[in-house]
Amino acid sequence: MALNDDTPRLGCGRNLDDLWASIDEPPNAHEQGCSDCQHARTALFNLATVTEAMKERDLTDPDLQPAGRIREAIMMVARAEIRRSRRTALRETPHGSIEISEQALNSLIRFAASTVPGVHARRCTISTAEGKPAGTDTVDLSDVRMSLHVALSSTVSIPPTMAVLRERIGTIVHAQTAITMQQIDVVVEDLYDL
Amino acid sequence: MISDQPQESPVEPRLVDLEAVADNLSAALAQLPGILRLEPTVKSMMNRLRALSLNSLHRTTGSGWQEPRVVARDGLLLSAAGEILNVQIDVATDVAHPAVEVAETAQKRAAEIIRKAGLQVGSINVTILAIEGSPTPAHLRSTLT
Repeated sequence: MALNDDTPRLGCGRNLDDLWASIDEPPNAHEQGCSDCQHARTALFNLATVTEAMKERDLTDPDLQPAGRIREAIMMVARAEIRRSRRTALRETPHGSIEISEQALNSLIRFAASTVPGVHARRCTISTAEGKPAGTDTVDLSDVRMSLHVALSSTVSIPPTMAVLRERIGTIVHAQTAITMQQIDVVVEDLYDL
Repeated sequence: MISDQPQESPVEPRLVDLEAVADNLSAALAQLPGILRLEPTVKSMMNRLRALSLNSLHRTTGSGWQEPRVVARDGLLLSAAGEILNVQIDVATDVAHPAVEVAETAQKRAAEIIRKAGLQVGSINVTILAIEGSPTPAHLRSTLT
């Protein structure tokens, strides 16, 4: 045995890690006759039993449950993370990457729409390529398309308002994120009276 | 006494407190124009809880405290690999400032703070999780220019 071998060993010279690796198997010929190995096996079994009992208590003991405030805080962050949806890589700098969440992009489009008088933004979806459904993949920056459903004031003329809306969305999204929208579909789904 | 022997610079162990670096980063980034807040994520939150639990365990058992290699704050996740520090920053930005430029400024500021702490700058990744603001005339002017 090497002098600098720090591996924990049993009295019989056996590596403790080797015994632990075969703990689920029946005792081999050496272990059946070795008191050191038998003692270690018993101790490891006891350790496993205690660990299982502690894991069980973690699930059932009310005193070991996370405080309601902590649980609520975690769930609030988790729900927000789900709403943020996919991420788009905007830029790679010498320091690292810059990404934007789909929710942030969505709110930017709604903001752009809200700057056009007589336009109320409703649903907004962002996709990467025609016909490609939204999934968990990142959005392809070179092919960002969006579809915005709006309600319009009955006092505005639709064609010029749509032209202004498209121009405004494209300008604001580009100014904020450097994304050039490939396609901006607008669906007027309702008219409202002022 | 003057010696002819070349003097070797003494080797001194250097301890960098990642918790202090995280606090500095958190405060500096929150003050940058255009950053509304650092946004907590599940990952940063769980790492923070993990660190708190480990500290509590070390205090209870009296076992030796080891320097943490991962430190988290709301919207910040620092992971050290030797002398190199990698950072993930999650932010909400103000619509009055171009989000992508705010993110680049955040990267540069973080790099300065890491260097000042005596660490090497690894990757600094920024995710813009939210863009907020109401459409006031001032917002609109700054966004469109």
